[in-house]
Amino acid sequence: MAPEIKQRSSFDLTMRRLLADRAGLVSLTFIVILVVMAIGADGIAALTGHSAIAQFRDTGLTPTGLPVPPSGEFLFGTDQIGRDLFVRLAYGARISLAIGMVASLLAAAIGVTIGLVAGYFGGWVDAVLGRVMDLVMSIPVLLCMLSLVAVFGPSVSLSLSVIVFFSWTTMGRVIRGQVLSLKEREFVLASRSMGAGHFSIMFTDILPNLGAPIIIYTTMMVPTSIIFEATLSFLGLGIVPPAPSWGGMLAEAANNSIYMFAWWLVLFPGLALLLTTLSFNILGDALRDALDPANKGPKAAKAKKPAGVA
Amino acid sequence: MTVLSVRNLNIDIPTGDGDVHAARDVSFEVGAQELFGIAGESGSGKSVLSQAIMGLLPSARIRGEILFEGRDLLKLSPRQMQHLRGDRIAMISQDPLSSLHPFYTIGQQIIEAIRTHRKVSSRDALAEAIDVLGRVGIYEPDKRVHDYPHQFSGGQRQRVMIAMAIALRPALLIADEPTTALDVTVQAQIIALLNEMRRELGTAIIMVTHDLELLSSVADHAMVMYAGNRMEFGPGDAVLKAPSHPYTLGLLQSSPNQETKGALHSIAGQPPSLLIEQKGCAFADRCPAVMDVCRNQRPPIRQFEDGTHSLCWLEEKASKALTPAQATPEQTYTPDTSDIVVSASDVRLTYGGRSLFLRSSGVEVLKGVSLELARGTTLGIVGESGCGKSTLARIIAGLLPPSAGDVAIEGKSIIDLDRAEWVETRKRVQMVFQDPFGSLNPKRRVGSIIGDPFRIQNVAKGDDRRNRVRELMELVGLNPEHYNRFPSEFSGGQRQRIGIARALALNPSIIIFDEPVSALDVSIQAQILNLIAKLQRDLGLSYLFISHDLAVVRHVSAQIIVMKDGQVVERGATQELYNDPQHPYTRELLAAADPNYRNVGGAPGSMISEGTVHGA
Repeated sequence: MAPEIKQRSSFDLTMRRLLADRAGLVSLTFIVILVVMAIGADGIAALTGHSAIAQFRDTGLTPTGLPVPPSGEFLFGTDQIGRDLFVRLAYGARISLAIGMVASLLAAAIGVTIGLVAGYFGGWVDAVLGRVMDLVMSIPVLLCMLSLVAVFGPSVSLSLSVIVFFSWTTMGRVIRGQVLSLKEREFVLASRSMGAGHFSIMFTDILPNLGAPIIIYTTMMVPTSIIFEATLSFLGLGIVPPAPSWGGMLAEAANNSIYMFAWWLVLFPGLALLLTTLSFNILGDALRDALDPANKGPKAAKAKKPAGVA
Repeated sequence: MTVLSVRNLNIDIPTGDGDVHAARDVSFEVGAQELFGIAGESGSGKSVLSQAIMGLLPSARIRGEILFEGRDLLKLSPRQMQHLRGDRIAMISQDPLSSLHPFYTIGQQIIEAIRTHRKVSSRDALAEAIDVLGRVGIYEPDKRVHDYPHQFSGGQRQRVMIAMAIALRPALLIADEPTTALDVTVQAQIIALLNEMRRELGTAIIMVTHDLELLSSVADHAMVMYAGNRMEFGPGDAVLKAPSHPYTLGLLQSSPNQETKGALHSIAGQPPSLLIEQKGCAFADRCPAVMDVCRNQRPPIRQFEDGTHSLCWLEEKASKALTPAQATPEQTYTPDTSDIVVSASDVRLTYGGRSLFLRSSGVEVLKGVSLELARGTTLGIVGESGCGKSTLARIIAGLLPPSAGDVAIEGKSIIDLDRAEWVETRKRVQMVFQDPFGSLNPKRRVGSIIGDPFRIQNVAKGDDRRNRVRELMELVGLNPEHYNRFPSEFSGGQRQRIGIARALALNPSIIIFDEPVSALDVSIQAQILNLIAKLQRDLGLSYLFISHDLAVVRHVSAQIIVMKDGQVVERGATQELYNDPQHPYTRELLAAADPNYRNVGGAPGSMISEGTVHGA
């Protein structure tokens, strides 16, 4: 295909709408900063001279053995054994974002595939896959996780698999519904009348039209996965200490009741978690507004109608 | 007495792309009891105008005056407008299905409308609702008043909408495309009903429609709009019989009727974008009588003896000034009719044989249809929605297996083929779909869409494929440079050309057109019909042409089949069928499709009584 494209219409309009959404823009900025922090966690560690697991018994703890509050040397203070909270937060961001994104991408891939197959073929295929989704949704997540950890021991890959296993169903249902209506459109019939096979129709005709819901729901799945991971780590089922994770940091603060004295131990990881999930949710909403034609339908139609030469 | 007087109305609607200039210096007056018609193609600003009168354009910048019963509606507060709406000014919209609330009975909805504006008891309001339902021709209104909207047919729903609108005896009723969503035979009944209601209740009616001929039979005064301008204004029959503006003339000549043969006169080009501020005449680019002055200066309003006004630089009426475009007599092309390319025999289709609710008797969609199509000719299939004509098309195209019967393409049955044979058949039969918006994948480029048949059938690759696509685009009158555009960047007519190019890609011998022009404006429709006819002559194609519009079918086909309820009620050569229809249903269709026929042969009275039968 020639690369010369006149695509202004859809992509440009989407970007323009997205940039006009102030809340979405703020969230996007926050996420970008967070990503930079996560990627540059090693750099932050080098700059401050504090590694994530190093304990600073002399400077990081008061003479009585209590953590020190935020200061010039320890931006966000230290924890109960004298580790730099700021550096640990940056490394925690790395884990949280990595798990959040990888899990949602994997879950999206599974959800899209199963939703596409179920919606397109319908009939008994749809019935079987639909029951599978119901089954997955009815398993108690934490109980399942507890027993898995008991058997295999906690690990990153186990957390990831569990998060993926329990989150693809939402995407699957959304995609299935969209495919049900898309496959009745005339362009699918037109493709069939030219002799196109199932595979061709699913991937060249239907899949490109699912772009908007896939982007929106994948974005919305990221915060859920992050919370999920934090919950697991908080319960000691996820990331193994001393590796830093937001959920684990919160757990440590809670375990020793040290937060009664050192408020920053709860505030900063909690805030990081809150702002991250909030940002992803707001970004998801902004993306929906910008991408989803159903939400801007009447306005766009009116704007187009007089201009659209028919 | 003047009910509504619109003076120098300008409407600008701000949008993301800039201001849409939806109306420019539009003036008109509507008297009591008058039926005033506003005609125009999509995007002409006719619907915006009616919304402006109703005060439903909050974000628009409106200049000018809208005087209703002596008050300027533009100066009223939203609250005052709210009191006026429904009470003094009522509106009927295009789609009677979506304008009725599915959750409430029609009685409740009419009563609510009445009690919003009048202080009456619900018992009185109910009596009133029953009375008004009876007036609009709903049979047994005292029983039907407690029914829900889904229990009524499309035509009846529109009657209910009219009942709701006239329940409060408004001074003005705005009907925005009141019949577009309805079948042709029902259309005539609704128009007749509106006509009757205005006489009975003294309501002035503004009827907005794209159908100029429909207006001709009923409108006292008519206004033709184009790109936000009032192109022509005058007494209904004068505008229709002797149009004074070249645009009106062009529109009238574009619609196929009894006289048209061969290539239709079409208005070249596309309507202008309303985002651009017009300097001269909006129609200049498409006008056959264009002069230099037209492009630079806004035309004056000329007034003629018969009461028509025209926004044009021409000094006399277009119907006189322009030599009536003689339809080029077609070289009579006589194909060999003995070579049958499609034959269907006793095709039946039953749905729901094994339904979830264990209903033993399925719905019979097709009850034994047979047809034959000779090579190089066109067979027209006419019928209303739900008569099974589209289903039949899909069966012949091989997209749907019939429950019984046989379809043979070029002598070879297409029933129970294996996959490879079926794919092979695709090279011989192709389809063009009704909806130029739905039948093209919005996320793919035009080049890939037209190249799809090559990709799927694996016949041409790379540069070869690209060149063939470009040739096809040229063949159907598209600019090959638009190869990389998305369907949304094309207008409806151009999209239909894309659909036709795609159907031609594999050199089929048979093309099935399923309502190819029903979604298009008249002037564009003529362009597409001409293209279809030209391709048939040049490539020797055989067509199955399906439409609800008898005038269009009659124009393109040599043979016609009339379908009703899954059966063929009449078939024959076009001219014979037109001159001497045998089946009453054919006569009804003819009457609905052609105002001349209606005036001469059809009895409008019989159509109203028909409505009461439907109501039963």
